[in-house]
Amino acid sequence: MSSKEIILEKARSVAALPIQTLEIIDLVQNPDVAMSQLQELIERDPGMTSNVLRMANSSSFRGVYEIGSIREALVRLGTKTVLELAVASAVAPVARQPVAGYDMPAGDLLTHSVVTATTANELAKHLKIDVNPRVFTAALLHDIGKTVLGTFIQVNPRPIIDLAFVEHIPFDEAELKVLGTNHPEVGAVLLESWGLPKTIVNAVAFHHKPDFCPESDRSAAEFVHVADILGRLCGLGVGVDGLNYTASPEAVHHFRITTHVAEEVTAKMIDTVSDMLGVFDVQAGSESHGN
Amino acid sequence: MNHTVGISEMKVSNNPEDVLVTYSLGSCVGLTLYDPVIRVGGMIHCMLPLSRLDPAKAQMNPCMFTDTGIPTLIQAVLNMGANKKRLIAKVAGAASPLDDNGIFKIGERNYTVLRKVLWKNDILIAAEDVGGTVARTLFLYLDTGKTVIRSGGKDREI
Ligand SMILES: [Fe+2]
Ligand SMILES: [Fe+2]
Repeated sequence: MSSKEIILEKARSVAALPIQTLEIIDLVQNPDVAMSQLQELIERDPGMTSNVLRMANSSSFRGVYEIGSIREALVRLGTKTVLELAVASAVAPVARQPVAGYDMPAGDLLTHSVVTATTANELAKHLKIDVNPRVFTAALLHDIGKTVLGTFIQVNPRPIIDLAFVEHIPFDEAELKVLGTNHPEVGAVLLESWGLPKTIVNAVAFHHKPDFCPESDRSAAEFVHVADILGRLCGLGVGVDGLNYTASPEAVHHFRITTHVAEEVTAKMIDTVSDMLGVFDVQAGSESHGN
Repeated sequence: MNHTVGISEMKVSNNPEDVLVTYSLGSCVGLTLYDPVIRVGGMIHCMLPLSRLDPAKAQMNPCMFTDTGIPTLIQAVLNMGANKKRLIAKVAGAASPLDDNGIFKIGERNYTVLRKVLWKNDILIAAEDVGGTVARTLFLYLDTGKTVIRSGGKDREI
């Protein structure tokens, strides 16, 4: 077996998400989820219920009055937002582990995931476009392939690091050159084996190269791509790969991203993200981001 | 004691046992100022170059923006008795994505504004580790003024 086959085989063998998490993600495919169905699913899990309520009451969402129940959250914030919060709560555990090979201590991948998803939401608000919960989910899961690929990078990180920082080759391309695959592909294989929707799988697969994404999902991949680059600027939770990626001019053009947009969205994101991170017990720019 | 300087924050100290540290400098810019004679130092982590992006926010927290944050830090160390002529300034951060078309060069913009403000204040940059595509962590040791950068799991003094 080539190193690529060994790595992808490993990705397919990662333990699947708990049934309840998959049920929540399943709802993401369904554009008109019934409120009652979502409420029931969330309330079945006390941990998720408390996480969703804490997020719903964080500064980014709550209004004047405290939100005391899932029902109230659904009415006040809408099904789509509550579904996003439930998905965030559901996938957080898989992103919490330390990621070997990328020099990311426990919590960093979760931080970068939440930063990227929050950036996607703030960017959507700023551009006044409607973002599908699938895109939000993809933003949360986009770098999940690092949890598998990292253990292979760790064996001998030097060649990839040198390609990236001496030859200035984008980190995902350096991974591909050395290992025959890269974290977007590994992530996509992993999520596909978990049975996640095709849009999420494609958005993850092409998050660094959205121009190559099949057209039906290109817009989702582009959005995750732009949110990832913007989210990386703040440096929160990024690993050894740092900012060593390229931005697709097509994606930038498609969403009319300018320096001004980038700065406005970054400012908004930083405002809202610390509350979100607090819910998951990871903190913006805290000790957990060094060692 | 270790004191963390968060994004859009600053800290100053005259306790020689203190270490100031800021994590995750991406395109943000970090500055340390240190007066070796009275051992007063400070550190700031500014996120965005210009306060005109959001004057209300800048009023609430000047440290968020480089153009308002750097003067705030200078004033804070002067208030602790530092002498402007003795201040040793070191800079870290201001990274950017690879070969991009200029849109995401917030790091370069942060650095340009920082230089301008320091120049206006007659403060020279003694050392720096800026630009490129790496995220950095910055330490300032109050006992000696030693400044250390950590990136890619490696530490080096600047
Ligand atoms: Fe990535
Ligand atoms: Fe930063």
